[in-house]
Amino acid sequence: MRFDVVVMGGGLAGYTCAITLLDSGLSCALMSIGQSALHFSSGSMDFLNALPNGERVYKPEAALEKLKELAPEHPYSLMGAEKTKAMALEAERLLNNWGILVSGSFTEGNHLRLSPMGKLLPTWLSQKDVFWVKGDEKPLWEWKKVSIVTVKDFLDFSPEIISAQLNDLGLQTKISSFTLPDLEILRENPSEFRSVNIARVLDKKENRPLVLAELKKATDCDALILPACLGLNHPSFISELSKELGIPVRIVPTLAPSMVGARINNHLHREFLARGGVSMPKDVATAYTFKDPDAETLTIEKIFTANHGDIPIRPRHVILATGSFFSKGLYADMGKIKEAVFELDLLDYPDQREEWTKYDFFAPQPYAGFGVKVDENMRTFKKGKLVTNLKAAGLVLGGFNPVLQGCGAGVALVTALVAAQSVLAEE
Amino acid sequence: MNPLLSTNFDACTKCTICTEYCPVSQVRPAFAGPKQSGPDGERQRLKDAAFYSEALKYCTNCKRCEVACPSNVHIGDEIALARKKFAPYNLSPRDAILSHTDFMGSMATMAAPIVNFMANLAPTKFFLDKFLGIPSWRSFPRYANKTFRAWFSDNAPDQSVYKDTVTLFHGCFVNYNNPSLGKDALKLLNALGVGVRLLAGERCCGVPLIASGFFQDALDNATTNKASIEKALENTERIVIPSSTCTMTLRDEYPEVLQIDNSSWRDRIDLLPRYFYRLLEEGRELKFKPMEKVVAYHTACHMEKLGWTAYSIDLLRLIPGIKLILLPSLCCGIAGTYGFKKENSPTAQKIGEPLFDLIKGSGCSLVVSECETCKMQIEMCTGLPCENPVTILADALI
Ligand SMILES: Cc1cc2nc3c(=O)[nH]c(=O)nc-3n(C[C@H](O)[C@H](O)[C@H](O)COP(=O)(O)OP(=O)(O)OC[C@H]3O[C@@H](n4cnc5c(N)ncnc54)[C@H](O)[C@@H]3O)c2cc1C
Ligand code: SF4
Ligand code: SF4
Repeated sequence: MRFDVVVMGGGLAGYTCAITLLDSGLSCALMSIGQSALHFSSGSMDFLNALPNGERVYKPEAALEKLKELAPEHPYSLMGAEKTKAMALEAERLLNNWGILVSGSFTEGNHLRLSPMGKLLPTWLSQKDVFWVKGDEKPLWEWKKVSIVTVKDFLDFSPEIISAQLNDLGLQTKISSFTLPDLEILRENPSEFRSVNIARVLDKKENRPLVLAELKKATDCDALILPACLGLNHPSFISELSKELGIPVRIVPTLAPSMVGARINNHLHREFLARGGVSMPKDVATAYTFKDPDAETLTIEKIFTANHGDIPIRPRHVILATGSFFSKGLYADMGKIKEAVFELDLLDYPDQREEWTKYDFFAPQPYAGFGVKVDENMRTFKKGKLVTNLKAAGLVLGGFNPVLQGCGAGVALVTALVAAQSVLAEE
Repeated sequence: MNPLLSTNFDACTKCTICTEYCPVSQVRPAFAGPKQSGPDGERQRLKDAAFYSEALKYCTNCKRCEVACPSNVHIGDEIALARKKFAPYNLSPRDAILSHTDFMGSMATMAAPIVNFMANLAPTKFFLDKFLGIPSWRSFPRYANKTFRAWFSDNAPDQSVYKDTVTLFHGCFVNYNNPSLGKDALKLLNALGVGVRLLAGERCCGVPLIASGFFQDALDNATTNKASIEKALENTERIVIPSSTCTMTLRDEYPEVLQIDNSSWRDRIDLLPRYFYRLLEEGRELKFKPMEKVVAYHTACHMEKLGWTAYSIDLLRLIPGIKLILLPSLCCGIAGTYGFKKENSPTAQKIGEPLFDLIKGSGCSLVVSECETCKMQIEMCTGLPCENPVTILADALI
């Protein structure tokens, strides 16, 4: 099978790269072992929330030089501040173009989002209907009093904790809950009383008036806060509720599964298909060949996969966007860390296995920074040789700690765009 | 190995992604969903059979949960195996009629004009609805006057003139309901210079039997098919199939659910578009006339599982003038015989609604799918024709 590009990995990085390349007229197939980390994410996208020394970042743009000193292998450092900024602005433009409507801006700096546990956390972009507030250390509230309305017995969202935290930050709050007859049947399986399942019920057309009536009871305030368990299939649902109720309505991500994250993934998938991209779900490379394995540089010729058996894929370009350990793009055996598909060269990491992890679960974990080594154009290497037609993007890369530095989605988006540019430059 | 002692369920990280993508959980919350019915339930059932839940029968075996799972848990297989092990024996005459496609097909084709006429009469529909639980508003597939096999032996052009040959597993739908799809396959294969043989003894692949809980009958069919296939492969390189579901069953359900060893020939089973692709790669040619149509490609559940949509899409794009729309991969709800059962019917329709809306809104005049039951469901619910890519390619052939 011949494609201009084969993308491995159906997460934020893989889809971003694939859609960009399709828009430039290249044919593209995307294979993925399973669904991506977006399904667990807050649905807000972080660019850079902290430096490796722990110093908090308010304006990522202003912190890039210092980041380069402290983390020269960070993808932003490799690319340089100017390119990083250009790609960040491009990502903002593209997401909105694709219909993933986001608030926030790289030039203005981070805003604050609300975690399921009521903490205000910095982030770069939040979807329009998600609860966020301007401010760096202190939130700059536009509201005095908010109503937190939850679904009765829903356990993946804690209104009491959120309320207490918001009170500490100067907001008055009121808590209430509601249920609908249609939800009763869901309760028969308490373990499945989860955000996405609830959203399917609340999103139904016939339930809209009931939802509206329940929410009306809580509108004696400046804004309504709901757990993100409505608006899965109709992203305009929340803004329509706002209009009808006459006050702002905002959703807060719940514990996993994350409806706001899944929604982004589904949206990207549709944009990919709409451009004629060929989806290869549940597939994985099992073998590959190089054109001339003894040459100075390597070029992938054929890729064999689990589903396609003896029929190879012959891509001109390959994008590796298989994610980190969590998504199985990287794995650890007893003595080594490996990139799962091509065994690409990784950034240096300690020889001793004990140094890969910290005993304290909440301490910064060294392994989070391990990953594939690339140059500034996201080109990859194997045994020191350049692999000419293989670019890597997203969390499979090394040199940064997405949890500690709060930079996961930023790295995924920016490196995906650079990888795409680098493919196009070679065309 | 005893499959119930398999520890594949242990790979589950409890992420709930599977439940998010299960078409049944989406509309029928009483079904506990793949995570609960699959890996979670498996752990409990290993301790005590009392944990087996009758609700497992609501699973349509679409395998979308497996495709979504990031941890490669064989959720759908676990559910099917649990039903095989624990479900009480199915005594429903309705299920027997719906699932024993060979028996019903051979009876019905003998008297096809009468059967087709009768099947759509109000009193028949009333009887089917009241006594058998087959909803009266559902249109029934028509039976052909002559089976594909009979046509093949009496009327097919001489296949011995071709140097290369391939064996066609036609499947029940082609044999009893839609022989013209089989003829289209023949037309394309012959145009590519390949002659066709049939299996000496072909039975229904068994998927409707598995779905209705007739595991022994499914196993009998699979055993016969295995012997026929192994015999045929002594003389031909490959077995080709028009239907995505038959293909998925022979490749994956035989080893995973029926414990039939197909390791020596699993890779020699091809869906027709995949085989055409091989022939074109060898340098053979197909010439198509222009077709100025907007055609929407629907990914049937078992196509999603096979991961082979690329071949059909590639081939269809060879037709000059065609505008191919790739629909998001959503279940149409019918799931073989599932949607024909009255108790499942509302679920089936609700599952399919988002897909039907997308199709109707797409501006297409033709839908394409490799699955015969998707064809029935989509045609009934959208009013648009839905054809196998093989038929569309054969129509466009110069
Ligand atoms: C629990 C969790 C929560 C997070 N929350 C946030 C957040 O709130 N904000 C934020 O900015 N970032 C968050 N992140 C970071 C997040 O990982 C990134 O933002 C970003 O989504 C990563 O995108 P990716 O495409 O690089 O990788 P992934 O999303 O991990 O996607 C990789 C994909 O590749 C597939 N795959 C793996 N191996 C193969 C293979 N061999 N062949 C084919 N496919 C393969 C996987 O199945 C997966 O679909 C979170 C991460 C995790 C794990
Ligand atoms: S998707 Fe896989 S890992 Fe996640 S809950 Fe379902 S079976 Fe378990
Ligand atoms: S096979 Fe289909 S219906 Fe059955 S649990 Fe999995 S996703 Fe649901």
